[in-house]
Amino acid sequence: MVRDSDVEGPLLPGWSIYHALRDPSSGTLYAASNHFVYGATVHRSDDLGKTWERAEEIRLPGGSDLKLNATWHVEPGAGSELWLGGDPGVLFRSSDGGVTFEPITSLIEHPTRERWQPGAGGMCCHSFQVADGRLYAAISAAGGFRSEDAGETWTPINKGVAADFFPDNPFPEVGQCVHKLLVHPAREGRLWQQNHCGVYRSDDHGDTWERLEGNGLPSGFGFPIALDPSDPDVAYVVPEVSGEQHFTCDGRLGVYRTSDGGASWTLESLAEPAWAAVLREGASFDEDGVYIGTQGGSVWVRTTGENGTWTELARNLPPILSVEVADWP
Amino acid sequence: MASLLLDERGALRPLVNVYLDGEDVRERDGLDTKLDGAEEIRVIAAIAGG
Repeated sequence: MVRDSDVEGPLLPGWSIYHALRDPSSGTLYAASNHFVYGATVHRSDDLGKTWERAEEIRLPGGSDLKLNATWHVEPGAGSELWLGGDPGVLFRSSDGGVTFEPITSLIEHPTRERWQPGAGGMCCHSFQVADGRLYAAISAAGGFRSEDAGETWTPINKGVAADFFPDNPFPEVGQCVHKLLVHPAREGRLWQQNHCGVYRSDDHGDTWERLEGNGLPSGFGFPIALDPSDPDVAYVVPEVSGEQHFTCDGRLGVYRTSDGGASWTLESLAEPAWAAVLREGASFDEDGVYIGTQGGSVWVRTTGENGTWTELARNLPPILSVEVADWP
Repeated sequence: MASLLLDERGALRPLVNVYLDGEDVRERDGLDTKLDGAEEIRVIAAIAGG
């Protein structure tokens, strides 16, 4: 944990924490935690990380031969509801604050599943949000999905999103390699995604997407995307050279910001020379700023607004997998 | 403890080894290996030092 410039930890030593956050309602810490011996689970803490409990059961669909490879993303819902995305393309819901999880078979056994494929990091359900009475999930590489009926059914939302690795059909219904999908909290229908094949914006709940490139971005490839909760036209990405070269472009740690909905992007260079990488959960945001963590172990924060400034908060941490910002007592 | 040693289907995790009097139970009947109460059982996570 990083508070101002003070670093506390390590918490849950030995576990790879793919994503962790503090539930703003309950104050509980949740971690999508993975161990190469002890497997994938979710840890929770009600005492700010001093002690942790593991989930008692993460149930896969009956009759399925799927094996839980990894837990990727946790997302608090209403009350004691907690959503969990994982590999292989699995989504779960807990109604008891992370003690037990039930599979969302409507997505796991989606009729398009045979056309899904794993991304380089596995077939991970890495993005999930409850917004505007809808559920949004994104899986690499299956694409984005939306539910209008509390998860009973799911509609692919990939129209206009390229899958250039399918040369015979670069715009399929599913199979896109979404890296991160976010719903903007202040404008209904506005979504953003950083994809393997570009950065995109939607203004109709994901029914259609506009590709945003050739406009200041050095590359359409990257992993994280961050927003400004008060301005739907603002987004931040950290482009990398390509799908085969996972480090930042042009020998610098460059964050690119748009304030016009992606029509143009401006470079904000944090460090140079630098060959850095920021993973899909390595960026977070709130009304005060944007926060990123690099694979080189540095944590940076940018104050909000057109003339915001970047400050390095911490360095010499292990490779950072996840960054979230939270109020702390 | 069980969730650390067994996967979600109740099978012993691949990198967790159980030894009965020095013999890997996978060479016998796995977790169904019958005990007579006098054996030494060791549960070891197969972590190599790199």
